[in-house]
Amino acid sequence: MDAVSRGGSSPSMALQPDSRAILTMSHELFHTSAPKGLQPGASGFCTVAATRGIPAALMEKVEALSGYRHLLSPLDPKNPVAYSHLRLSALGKSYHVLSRICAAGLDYSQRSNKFAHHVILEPNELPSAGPAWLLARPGFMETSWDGQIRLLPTGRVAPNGDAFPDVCRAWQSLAGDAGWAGVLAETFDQNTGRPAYLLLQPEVGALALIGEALALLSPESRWLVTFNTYFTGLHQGTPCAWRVVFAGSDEAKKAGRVPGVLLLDLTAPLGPAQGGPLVEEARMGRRAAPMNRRIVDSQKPLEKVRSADKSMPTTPAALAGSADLPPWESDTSLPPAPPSIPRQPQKIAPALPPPPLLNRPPTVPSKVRAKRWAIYLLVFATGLLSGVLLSFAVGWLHSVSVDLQPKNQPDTEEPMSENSALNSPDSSPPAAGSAERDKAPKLVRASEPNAKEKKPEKVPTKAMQSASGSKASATRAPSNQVKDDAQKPLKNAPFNAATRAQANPPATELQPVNQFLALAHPGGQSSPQAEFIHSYLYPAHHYSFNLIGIKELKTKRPLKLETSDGKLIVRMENSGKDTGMELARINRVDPALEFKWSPGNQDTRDAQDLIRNFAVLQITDRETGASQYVSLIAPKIVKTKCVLKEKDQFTYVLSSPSADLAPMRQLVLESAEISELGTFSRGAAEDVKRLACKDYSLTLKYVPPKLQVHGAQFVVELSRKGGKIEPSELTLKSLVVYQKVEGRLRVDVYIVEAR
Amino acid sequence: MAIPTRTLLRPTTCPHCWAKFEPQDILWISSHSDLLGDPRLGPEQPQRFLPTRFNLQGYALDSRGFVCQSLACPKCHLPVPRVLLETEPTFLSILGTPACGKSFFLTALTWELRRLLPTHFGLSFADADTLSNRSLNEYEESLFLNPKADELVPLADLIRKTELQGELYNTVMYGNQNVSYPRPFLFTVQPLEHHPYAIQAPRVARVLCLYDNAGEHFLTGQDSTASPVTRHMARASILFYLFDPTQDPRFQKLIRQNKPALAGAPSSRTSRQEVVLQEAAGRVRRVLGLSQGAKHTRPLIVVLTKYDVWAHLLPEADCAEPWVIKENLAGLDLERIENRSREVRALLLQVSPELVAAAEGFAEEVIYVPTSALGESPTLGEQGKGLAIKPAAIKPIWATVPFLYGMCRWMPGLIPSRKRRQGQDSSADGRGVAGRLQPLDGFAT
Repeated sequence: MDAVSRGGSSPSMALQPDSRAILTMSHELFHTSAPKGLQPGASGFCTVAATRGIPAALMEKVEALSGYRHLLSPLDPKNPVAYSHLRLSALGKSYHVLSRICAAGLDYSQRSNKFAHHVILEPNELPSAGPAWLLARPGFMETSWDGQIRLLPTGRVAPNGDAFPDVCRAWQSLAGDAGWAGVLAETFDQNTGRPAYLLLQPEVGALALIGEALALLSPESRWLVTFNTYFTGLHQGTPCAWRVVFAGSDEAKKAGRVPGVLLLDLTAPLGPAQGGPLVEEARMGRRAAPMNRRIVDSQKPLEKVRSADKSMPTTPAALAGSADLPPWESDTSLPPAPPSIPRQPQKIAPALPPPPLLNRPPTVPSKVRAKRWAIYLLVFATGLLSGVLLSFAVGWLHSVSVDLQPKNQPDTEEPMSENSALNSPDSSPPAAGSAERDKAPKLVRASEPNAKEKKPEKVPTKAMQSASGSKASATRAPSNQVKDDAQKPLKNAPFNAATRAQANPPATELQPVNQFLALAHPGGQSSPQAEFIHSYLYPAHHYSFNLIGIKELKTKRPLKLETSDGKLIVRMENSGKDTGMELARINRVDPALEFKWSPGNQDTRDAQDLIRNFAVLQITDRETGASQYVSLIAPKIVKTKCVLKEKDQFTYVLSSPSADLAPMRQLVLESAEISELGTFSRGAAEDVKRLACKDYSLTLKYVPPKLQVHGAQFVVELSRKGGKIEPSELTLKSLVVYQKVEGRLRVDVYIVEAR
Repeated sequence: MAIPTRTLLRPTTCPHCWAKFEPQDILWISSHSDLLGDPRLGPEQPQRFLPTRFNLQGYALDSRGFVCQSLACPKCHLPVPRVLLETEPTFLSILGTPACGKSFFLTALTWELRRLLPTHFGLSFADADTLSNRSLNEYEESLFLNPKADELVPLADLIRKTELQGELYNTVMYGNQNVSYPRPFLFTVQPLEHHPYAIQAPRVARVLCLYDNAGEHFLTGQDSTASPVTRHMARASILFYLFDPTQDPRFQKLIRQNKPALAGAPSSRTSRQEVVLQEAAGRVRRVLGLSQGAKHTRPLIVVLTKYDVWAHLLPEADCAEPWVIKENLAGLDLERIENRSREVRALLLQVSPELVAAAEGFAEEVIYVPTSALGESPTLGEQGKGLAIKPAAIKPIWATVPFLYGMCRWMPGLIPSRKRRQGQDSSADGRGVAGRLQPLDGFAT
């Protein structure tokens, strides 16, 4: 057992000692199978060592990240090691969890075992070099447990260091073009919510690939990237952006089916990558001025490293010599690097002066971006004011017939018109945060003109497969995604999906409109205009009707269904407290069917009672024997309330992903302080309202008489000016509400977290 | 033309979160690939929705007009097989300490049931949901269809130690609270044509819900809001408590005394196993709101595992299957099982009486059944590779008996029993089967 003996208080790793006291304390947790655990009565898989004072809630959440699946026999040393960086919240605080989970032979009961070492860092403990660099530091992560069950007095101190882009040699070896590291980095930079899958052979060390790609990002962005080098499933509430899956695994198959993800198949060379500046940086490397700081707080001595350092091996030879990487990684030689991709000589010239790190457009920190926005706005406002004053002056001069040559300002007209559009009342206020950047790529383009967004780019289909199987999305490069988003700035991923689906023809199951069964509201007649349910039937067939699942009936009238000639065709199967009541009659009016409530049930009050909690109408086709079920749901108005914890300005984006909606009227947003924030008048997916309010309580209310939607779904998307909304900020982060209003319809409301 | 009718259950129970719900409340799972994002299951899961549009086959149409066929629980949003709307679910809980052999027992049980029920008892035994049963099917393949059947294979390679996280669990997010549920193994049991109750198949058919918990879950303090992984015990129709005599030092001593050949065998670890049963009793009482002294009305079957190791401790090492076949249909010999139960109980009273006290203090009816999932003791494999066995040599002993006995006694209409001899009353001595037995007649159930 080669465990690093920590002797309790101070870690004895090959780390740079920290020269200053760290006010915050990291936590650690060792999880494995042992006869006894740290907690009284624990045995088997349990925590065997943890930092003293680690909060129980945090401990529980971190323990839940300790899952491991043996790829090979538990005794096989070639089982992969799962390195991960995940973020989670506990007790109102955000943590970064660095984990190393590996197979650990047999346990005390002669069964398969694993060992998980977690290091939990707070935001001010993060070295600039990023999580992959830290994971690869020799000795920082334990490789085995020394058998001592104990409380650790303190957590280990993360060494400081920075990394800057170098030629991504590991990527070049595997993909044939180092630029693919840039593709991965750019994908994250453009849409942090878009998962990326790296499909690898199990023998390949994935941490080096991740580290190289992370080094292309800004220090802040590096710690936003969550990843797992052996991804076996998503832990709920813990996102994972970069997922390494192994060829032939179930996860690899699933990855091919998930729409909208970036899938890089690195089991074979991919061909030339195309993209923006990060792709070029990945190819030629770039030396930037080291950032002598931690992400938040830094006065710590800096340990400078390059991504090609021995701590982050990137070449096959370096990988083989890495002491930190497990034997299977060091024993296995990577395939020889394929010939370099022919490209423009000037692009790969190493003598190119690297631009400063912070000037790279895709990786500008949000604070810098906000300041830049403020400057732009100030300049714009000044220009606008000057223009107005100038125009006023010119007009005044004209009015007094003073012959002056007007001063034209062609240089400012174009940007002014663009910026004016951004500030139109239909749009949200200019956003500076990353979330806003994701939502409104136009803002990014306006403020940071970037040639890559305008380039037509083609990416080999093999390299970037979209899980939906859609060829269009399969070949779309990340930069094209930006272009798409720019064309439809108010739509995020679900809305884009909705828009894409509009191009799909309606399902073939939908029959012509004269072949439906329409159930009217109680007391009324059915008609296509006043339908309650819309169920398609073959006119030549005979059907029987069966109402089942009734929970509650408040009238005492007999309940049965009859044909128009009075023949009883349905008897209620319900054995509840109110059964045997006549409900309605079915008439065959060729080619459609007409449903009418029985005379005794046309009273409005009774009708309300009758329809309450009706469950399922079973309609059986006598010709085929097939049954269909139609839900008859109780009319009930449910209010949805979403409470945010912070006072801030939020932007609500409403849209409806349903493509087959009738016009929607008067979906009213209310807050505690403002009676009406806005209305949503149409159900079409394109009609998106962005409503801004400075309130942190949102109530959705429906106005029943004006609703004429059938099966609509609405999305309320939250975003905040100046930053993203963290899931922990929402009392109800995401909610589905099924609305039944006046017995006419069902409306689904989804409140989704902003991305 | 006869119209096939479907009788929906009111209500049914979700096998994941054990919530009861009406069939009309069940959610459908969108099939269009663009409809992703569920508040409970995350952004990469298909949307769940309550439909208003259906096609002629009775399948819901999602908002893109695509036909959906999968259903989901309205509470936890996890997939629910359609058969659960029509067939009553029966929950069976298997509990025991770590390394007592739960996974091996479960694997041997299901494998043997697939073979025995159709051929001997006129019942079909099939996966209700192949996706959720996949892990168990892999276990079965590893034990009984192993390509290296004639080689010594380490036990650790056959069935891995059950994890506390990962693919055996589903995590659901309720607001900010994550809850991890064990993934159920679902099987349908229904009469075949030659079964006496074939005509009433819909009435007597069952969906069996089994769980492969890690032993750690039954230890004190391991049941929490975030991980209510053992709460199926409160819903269980029958509780199977696995007791591993080889983990009891008193049994170990007895085994070595009576079987000197085992004296050199590596000593198994020891643990207090009755604590797990007491903890389980406490949890069941808490969930059901029972008083501390109240006995659970559901039967408890104490399954003594690794019978092949300690069989010599019983007066008669009778390993023959306890059923008789008459007119192509087998009837369970309840008397033999109950006699064996008495013998086992007497042995337990002698060696570890606290277990008997704990079991009979918890449930009204307790029966003791010896089993062996492997049928042969594993041997010490290569250096450092632990115990090993040749898969071809695996011949389970009485692995299905606890289950068959439970079905026969407490799931009427499925398993016939052999007619009792006149004057024989299982409760004559009052022990062996704690409590009283229902009268059983021939093949009637």
